[in-house]
Amino acid sequence: MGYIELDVLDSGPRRILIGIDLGTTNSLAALWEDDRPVILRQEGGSGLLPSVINFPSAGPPLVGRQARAQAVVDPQHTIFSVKRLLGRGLSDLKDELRSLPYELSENENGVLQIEMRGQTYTAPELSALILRAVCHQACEAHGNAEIASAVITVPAYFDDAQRQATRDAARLADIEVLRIVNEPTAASLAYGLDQKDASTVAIYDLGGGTFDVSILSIEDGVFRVLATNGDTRLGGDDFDRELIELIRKDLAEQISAEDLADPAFLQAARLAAEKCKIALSSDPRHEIHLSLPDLDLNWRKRVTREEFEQCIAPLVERTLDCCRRALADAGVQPADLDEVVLVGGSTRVPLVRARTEEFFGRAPHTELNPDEVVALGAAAQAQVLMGGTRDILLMDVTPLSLGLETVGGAVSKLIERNSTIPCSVTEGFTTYADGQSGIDFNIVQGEREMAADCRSLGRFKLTGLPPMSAGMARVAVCFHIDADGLLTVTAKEETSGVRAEIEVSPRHGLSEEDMEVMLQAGFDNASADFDRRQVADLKAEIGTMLLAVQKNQAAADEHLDPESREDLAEAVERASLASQGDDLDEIRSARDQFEQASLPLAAVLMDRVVKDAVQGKSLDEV
Amino acid sequence: MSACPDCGAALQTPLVCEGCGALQATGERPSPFEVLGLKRGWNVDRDELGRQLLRLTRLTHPDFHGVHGVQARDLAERNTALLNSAYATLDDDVLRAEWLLADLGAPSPDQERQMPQAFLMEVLEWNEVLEKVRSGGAGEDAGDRLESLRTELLAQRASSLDQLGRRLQASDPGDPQTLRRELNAVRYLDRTLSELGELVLEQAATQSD
Repeated sequence: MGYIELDVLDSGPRRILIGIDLGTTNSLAALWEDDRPVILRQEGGSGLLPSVINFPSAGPPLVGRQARAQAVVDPQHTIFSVKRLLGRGLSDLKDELRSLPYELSENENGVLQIEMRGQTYTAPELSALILRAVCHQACEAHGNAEIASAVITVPAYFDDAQRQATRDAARLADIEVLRIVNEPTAASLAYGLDQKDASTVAIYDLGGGTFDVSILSIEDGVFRVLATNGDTRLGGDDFDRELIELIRKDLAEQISAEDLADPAFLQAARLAAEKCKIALSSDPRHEIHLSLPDLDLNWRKRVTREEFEQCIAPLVERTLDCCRRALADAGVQPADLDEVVLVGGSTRVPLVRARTEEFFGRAPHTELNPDEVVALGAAAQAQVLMGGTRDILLMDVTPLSLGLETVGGAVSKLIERNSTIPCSVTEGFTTYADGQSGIDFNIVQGEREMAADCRSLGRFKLTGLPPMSAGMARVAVCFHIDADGLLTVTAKEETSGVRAEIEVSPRHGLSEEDMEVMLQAGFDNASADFDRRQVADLKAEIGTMLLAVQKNQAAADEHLDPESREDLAEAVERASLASQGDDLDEIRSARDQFEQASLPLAAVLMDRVVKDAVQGKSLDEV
Repeated sequence: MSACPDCGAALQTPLVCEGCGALQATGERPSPFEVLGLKRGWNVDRDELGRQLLRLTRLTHPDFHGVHGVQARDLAERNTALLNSAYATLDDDVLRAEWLLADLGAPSPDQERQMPQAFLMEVLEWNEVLEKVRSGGAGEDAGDRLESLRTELLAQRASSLDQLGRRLQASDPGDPQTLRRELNAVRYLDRTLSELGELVLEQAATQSD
């Protein structure tokens, strides 16, 4: 049979196409397999990779669980919630800055930078580290496959700068992006809400750092977003922050203001707050315990669910305001909805469940794991994009209006919010002075009337206009939003045919030059860095195992059968040899062999432990 | 009606051949009626419009052309954008009226800003109600006041549009300037309704605080 032969001939790693949920708190990947999406997880693992990065004093950055473990020990070099920094500038982050244990700065182009161990990193670079680690984990979970390309999800309410920054992160991580999909839309796919009859659905997605609500109409495989709304700075992190404030207020009399701003204290408070929040989802009360010997602090406080709910109630109400706006834009009443779906880890909070149920007037769907559902949907969309099926079609919208600043500082809207994408709009502009040779354009995104109140995405200039009287030039400016929700702008003077050489220099975004430099620089080595990290971990593991065998050599000689003894000796030799080199595959395979060969010895030792314990004791004492 | 260069089938829309699925290169601004394969006119069957959008999007959407190379994907982007904009134009009464007016050579809103005389008196009354609610002068009545104003505005909008639509559907739509003024009135009503909507949301938000 042909395909079996092909399998044999194709000895290279399998190339897979995955969906990635790049989250504020956790990131994970899923794959389409046997007609359904599955989360890629290492054996026994959850598949969730904490979106945390730590920069150790030497060696490559740590990502995930290892990085998270460093949070209290090394707070100044541990970065959480990078997603909230994507496409943002310092002025956007005033609230966050106070509780960050490290310094942020801006370069001359308004690009946010974090300095770590003498090197500066932008948010896309940091996100790229997380993306690489997610891919690495996904590949390992799938028998060392290779990632061909990926669908990456973003909050529906991400603006253009935030989407561009996400795309830049993927490029820096050397991942080919098949499509950028909105998180709530992906979730709707995963939920399999597609029934024969047309239905109207609300997806309420409250994650670690962002909130989205999307209203969809689903009919015969077409998932059509009618309206979306949200807040890209509202999520579980903010619930934590409310608890941190509670802790700080309580401690204000006991410890100095200086200590209250201490990075170690902040990280410890952060983690304690998060733990408390999670516990209060199932328990009516929880005791926060902070133990920081350096600050001579050993402090306990009992928090009830009621107290917690009082803290976060205003935040939950803010999400409902977004829901009202989304429903109004969609022209839908809560009673018209057929289904409501809760997505995102923060929807585990009982108050969120209660208030959404009350608001929408129906019990929401919560069957699927709210942490996984977005990645699952992304994998389903990847399957569509690789030509696997035409049965499913996503029709998404752009969340915010786009326009140009006019002479008086007002906004001339070209694309209204909730327009179905892809979409193009062309509008005519003209000159206001005689002989004017160029026109400056300021591209803005947002719902406010004045350009100054909207977000400026960038500026460009149409130059080389031939001399004409004021108002005679006919400049056609075209905005195109593609299926990824990304904007491109072109301009042309129609009487002379002058085409704008537009280079939109994005505010708070990386220019093409920046990207080139970063791609050239050390990031090429990130994958190698990751391998080096693994080699180091495996060597340490082998070292521990060698020690254990040495310590118990006598027992081995005495109790093991000759065959097992020989296997063990051989495995020890191979492992010692392998750990002198740097070949990841060899080291990993030697470790596996060592582990297998040491099982009989482990059994002997276990046996002895039990015997020792039992010796000299009567049966009923055991 | 032109034919598909690939399979020869008659094209029902300039975007794509429904026979063989080949995407077509179109002129810069095709008529939205042509794009959606519908008869030009004010009266549009909404159900048919929706069905046409979904049916054609299934053929043009870039999701289904990514594997066919960059050129195919770019054409898919462009044609789907044309489809979406045609749909948005025809689905919205005001935009559809605007397109038909422009096609009839009527003046643009910048060239002719007037509204029908009878309409202006009512505008003053409506503004009074909005101002009163905004300044807090309506007290607890605010919600009811806004609701009854909304009902009145919607009724006025429906009757204005109905009148305009009947003209546009007629074989002789009449004086383009009159059409423009009538459409200006509808646009004014829409602005007032959206202000009113914002006000209702503000009220709801302050109440839930």
